[in-house]
Amino acid sequence: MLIASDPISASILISLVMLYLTLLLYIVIRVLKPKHSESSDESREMYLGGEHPSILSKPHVLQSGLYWAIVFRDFKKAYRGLVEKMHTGRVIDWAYYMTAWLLILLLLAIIALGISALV
Amino acid sequence: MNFASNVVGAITPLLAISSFSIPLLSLFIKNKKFYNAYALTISAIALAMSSWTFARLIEGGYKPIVYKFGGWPPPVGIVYEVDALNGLLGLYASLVMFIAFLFSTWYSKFIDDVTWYYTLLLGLETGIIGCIYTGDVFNLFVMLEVLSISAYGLAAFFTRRPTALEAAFKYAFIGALVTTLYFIATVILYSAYGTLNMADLLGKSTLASSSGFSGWLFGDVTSASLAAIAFTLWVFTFKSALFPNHFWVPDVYSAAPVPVIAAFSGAVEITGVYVVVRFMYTLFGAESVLALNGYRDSILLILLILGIASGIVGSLMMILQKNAYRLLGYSTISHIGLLYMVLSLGMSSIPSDVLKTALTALVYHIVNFGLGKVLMISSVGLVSTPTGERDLDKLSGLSRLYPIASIGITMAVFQLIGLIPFGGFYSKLLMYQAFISSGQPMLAVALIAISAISSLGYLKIFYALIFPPLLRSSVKEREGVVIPIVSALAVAVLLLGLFSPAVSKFIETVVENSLMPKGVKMYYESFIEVLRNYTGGG
Repeated sequence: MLIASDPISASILISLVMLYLTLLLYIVIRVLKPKHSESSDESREMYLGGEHPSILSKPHVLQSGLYWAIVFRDFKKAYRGLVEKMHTGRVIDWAYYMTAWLLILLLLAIIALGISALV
Repeated sequence: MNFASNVVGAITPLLAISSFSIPLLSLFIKNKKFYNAYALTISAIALAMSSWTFARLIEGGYKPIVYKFGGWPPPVGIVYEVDALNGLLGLYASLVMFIAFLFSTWYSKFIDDVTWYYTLLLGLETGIIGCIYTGDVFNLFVMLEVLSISAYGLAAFFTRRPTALEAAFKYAFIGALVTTLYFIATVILYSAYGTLNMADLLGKSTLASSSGFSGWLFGDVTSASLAAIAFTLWVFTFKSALFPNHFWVPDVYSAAPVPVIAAFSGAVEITGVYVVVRFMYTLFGAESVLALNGYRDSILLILLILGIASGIVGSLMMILQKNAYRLLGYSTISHIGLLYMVLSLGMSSIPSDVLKTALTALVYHIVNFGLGKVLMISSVGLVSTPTGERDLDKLSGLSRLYPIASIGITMAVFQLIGLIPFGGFYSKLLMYQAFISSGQPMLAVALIAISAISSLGYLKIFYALIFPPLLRSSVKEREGVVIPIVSALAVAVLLLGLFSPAVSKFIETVVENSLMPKGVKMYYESFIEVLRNYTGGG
């Protein structure tokens, strides 16, 4: 509350905290960083991430490959649901979710009326 | 005050007549530059009028300005009633539309036929300003139709692109259904309350008083209010693109002209949010019949849950996108989620000072998000429009050709993520404060999580447009008017943060005089005063 009521001191404080955390993170990375970088066949496969080897000739990773691990590995199930069930692009699927929201609104209204009738 | 109210009443007719004049003018004038200047001038006049209106509101101690159309007194005739909230949002929407028109003067060189483009864009502004200023629920329906039909036309503007036609067809198909439901809501309200005037509805639903003109009640107001609010919320959560009524946004954004995307993001969706706020805090506030058996609290709780869902779904989907504008569409959905999270804190258990903070955060974030988004779209538009490409991989490194675009994108990303010292940080800080003060720390965590996830999406734009070397040869277009647009917006988002204490204090005054009990009372009393002046009563 004290911080939030004074945005200027909040800004300074949060900036300092962020700076401190960044510095701390940098030190941790420097300390833990191996002296000699090791590269295995397995790690090279991870980099390819299922893409065609031709992407290695590109000077940088394409933006579409940026979050490959998040989309296709860590949150695979969540994304499958979001894309294949919800954001299919078909109007009928949109209508399904939108109607559910309308039904919730109407159901709440009916419940409120029902309670008032009982009371 | 009479002149002030006449100015309020003149804005939408001016915009509408100017819009409908363009097809007639096109029979005689073919010069593209003429239409650029014409539309920009009309938009500038609308901006000047809305600024003047807001200045008069401040001068008059935020006492609402009422304009009677055709001289008919409310509730018999249609009125515009401008209080602190819609005065500020009207000014904000006019500003966003002015920027869209200014950007269009540069963008028009990539469009074959500007006459229909400007007809529709002026029509869109007519609908937006009408929806914001109106004090009549049926006139809101009319203005919603004006807004929607213009929006469908603009979404389908590039008729040779199949994606544009598909997006516009889907949007129009569901949009037509949605507006019809709102029409039904107005019929239900009229059948029970005998009035369509917003202040009169407020009087009957909350203050249990009648203006006399519209009689007392004609039916079961409780069930009518419950049904009408259910339909209305569904309609305006569609217009404001709240999950799960958000599906139209990515399709429309990926196909519409760039200035139209800016107008959608900065003004159209915000109009939807405004109407929800007007219904939930002015017409059907905490003391209204809607509070029966906790219905209003339940509705706000569900809006809160949908707000969180919208924030998370929008930010997660940003990560997937390859199309720059589709990504920005999901970013809008995410920010709309944040707005709904904070506007839902009006439950009966929340103390009024916390609610005031929440609503201040809401209005502050509307401005921050809107200007940040228009800055982002203008900057990306500068890079993408000359190539005709919208795929991020195909735009790789192109912003190196336009240093102003790189600056604009960087500033917009900082604003939208909410980094210090940009305005976006301070409105999120106010949201955070409201969530913590309301005893809901999980909402504060959700706010941080949504911002963190969405930052991954924004970094894609950074990564694709700014970081990589420029590989393909591309002809550079002259930036022209885009340089002052991006520069002014970049300075604005910074100033919104640097002057945060003054800005938030000012917005708090606006909220106090519009959405809090004092403001709601003023809204009703201004209506009664107009009525008394007409009847000659004291």
